[in-house]
Amino acid sequence: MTFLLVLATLSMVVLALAGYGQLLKLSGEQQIFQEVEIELQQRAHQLLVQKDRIEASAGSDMSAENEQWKNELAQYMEDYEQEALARRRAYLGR
Amino acid sequence: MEQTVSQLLFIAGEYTTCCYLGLLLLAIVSERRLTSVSVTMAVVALSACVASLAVTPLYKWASDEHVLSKFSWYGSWMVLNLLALWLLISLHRTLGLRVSRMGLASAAALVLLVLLQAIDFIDVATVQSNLFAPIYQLGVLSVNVGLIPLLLFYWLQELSIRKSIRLGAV
Repeated sequence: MTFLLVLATLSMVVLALAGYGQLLKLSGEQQIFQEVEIELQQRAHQLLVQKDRIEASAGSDMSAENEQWKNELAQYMEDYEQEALARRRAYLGR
Repeated sequence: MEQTVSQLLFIAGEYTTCCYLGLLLLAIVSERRLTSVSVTMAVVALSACVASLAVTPLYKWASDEHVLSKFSWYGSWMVLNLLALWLLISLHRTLGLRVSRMGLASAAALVLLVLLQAIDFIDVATVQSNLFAPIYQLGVLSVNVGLIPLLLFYWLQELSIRKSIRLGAV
């Protein structure tokens, strides 16, 4: 009886340590990269949807909206480039 | 000297649940979205609330001398801590959050609590040397109390890291 209870206790300790290991894995750098990747993808998707909307509605203020879209695209490309640079730095160990 | 320290710890221990709830409110107000900080605070406050609710019935069970009733005390604390740890992991995973140092610190506190319970239970169930009883009592209290300033410290660190990222320094 006592032996079984001690065994259960030890298995719970092992479980706790395994859980901590899982959390350590989730706190690593890989996770940050994944988050940024997802965010960039979402922004690209939004930009595409916006372009579709602009093309569909041939309104009067089309040029202004188009200009804004171009600015957002430029910002996106800039962010993408920055991210690539950051990644290269991380992998080169700087 | 030791007497006063342990007395102070006991007094502080009575207010830990209130402190955790206050920290949770602060996190919700200042973060305004789901981050690792607010998730960690929620899990810690939840486990503190459950602990303060469970302590009276568990104490009643554990007053018996039988091994099983002793295990019901230690085992339920370990299960509660493991559940909190699991909640922390699964929330971070499903929400796709990066675990901050705060999350790691609270997880380490949970693991430490499980270790303390396990050591003291094994002592009670087998050797009965009662050597670990004071360590257990003060250890659990000091982990619960000491986690609060640790969480605050890591929160401030996280805020300053975020600021430097926003300024483009990193």
